[in-house]
Amino acid sequence: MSSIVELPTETLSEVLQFLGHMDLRTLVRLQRTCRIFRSIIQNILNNPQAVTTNPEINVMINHKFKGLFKSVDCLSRTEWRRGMGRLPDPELPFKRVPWARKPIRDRYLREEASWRSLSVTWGSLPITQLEVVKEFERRGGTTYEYLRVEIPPCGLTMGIYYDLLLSKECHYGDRTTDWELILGKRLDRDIAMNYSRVAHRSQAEFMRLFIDAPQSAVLVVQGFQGCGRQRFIKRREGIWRPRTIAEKLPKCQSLWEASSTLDSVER
Amino acid sequence: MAAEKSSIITLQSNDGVSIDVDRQVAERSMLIKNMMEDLGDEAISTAVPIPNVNESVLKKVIEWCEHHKNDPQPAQDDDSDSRKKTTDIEEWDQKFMQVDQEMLFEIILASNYLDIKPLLDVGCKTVANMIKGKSPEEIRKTFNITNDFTPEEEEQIRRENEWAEDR
Repeated sequence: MSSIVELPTETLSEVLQFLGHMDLRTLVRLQRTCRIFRSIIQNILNNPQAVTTNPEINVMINHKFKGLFKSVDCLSRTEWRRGMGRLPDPELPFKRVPWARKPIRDRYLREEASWRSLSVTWGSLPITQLEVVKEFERRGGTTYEYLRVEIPPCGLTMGIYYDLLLSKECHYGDRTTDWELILGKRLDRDIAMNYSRVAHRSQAEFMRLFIDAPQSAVLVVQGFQGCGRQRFIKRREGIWRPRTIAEKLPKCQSLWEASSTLDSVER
Repeated sequence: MAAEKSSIITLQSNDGVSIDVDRQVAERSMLIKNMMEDLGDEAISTAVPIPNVNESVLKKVIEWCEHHKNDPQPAQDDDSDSRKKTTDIEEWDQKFMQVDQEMLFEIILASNYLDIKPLLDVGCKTVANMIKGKSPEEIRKTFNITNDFTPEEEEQIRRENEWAEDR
């Protein structure tokens, strides 16, 4: 007995489970070791054991995709102050991921790349229900939209989330100013119905729209159009622009729309 | 009951060596604990054979049980949940696990057989720590594993996981 692969499968699986919680990146890489490793690791990656009772974005995933969960995280303090918390370019969170440069980027932007099948909350509870709350502010009023995203029973994966952020239904193009994925919450529809009538709201008021729901998450997207002028973003020729990766995009169902100047319309 | 707790039982390794152990210490092993409960006092008078474990490994395992004899027993049901919350290893256990690879795997196998979950966890965490940050090539070398993929399979796996090569 001198080789790790001679351990009983369940014991080797325990070892690799611990490794996944210590160092998920190494676990992913070690699929290349041999067949036994490959099959055990695939099983662990697809059925992670939850070690916390709250959903949390996995540390490694957060490191690799930081600004995609809370867009302002990609800004420096100065940039944040200058833009008053609004993104100068809605593509910036993508362009600032640590792998955005070539040729590393190509390893990520292929459909079969295994990060896409990882749960966003790998190692904690999976997100099984995802809602999108969109808010668009312009002179003359604010419109709201509330969507539900179809996600598979295994939960929200990085691939779905990445494509969702870039799919037309979930942003306002260049007029997107900010987004954030809020875990463990869902929208309280009764409160939300009246939400549009609240003209000025604080962060605390906004958060009161959500109620605790352990395996739910809400993606809040905000857009802005100031003084009737089109937002103009300068982009250099030939620079990478993020695009959806999968051909089949996550399905969204629009549940409700409202505008601060009109009455709510329920669907 | 008090007298029973302090009684001595004899364990016999697969190479025929008998080792006397405090019952409380031996009962860190759920296998032995259950056996004692089933057989009662008559088990105390005869040596308990441990067929899968040799003397040096058994002594090592007993050393661990001795040190941890007053730890609370792990709950039977929620094992998968609570015990993985931490990947830390306490200092004494870290020192205890500073053994060669062969011994490390023997301890893991013995704790698996004897059903000593906390020791099994320490062993698994120790191996996980050895693996942490290593490349597939280094792991193959460290643990003497043969790459048994076809070139096509290897290429496919590489393509899927190449993103993780970057820090």
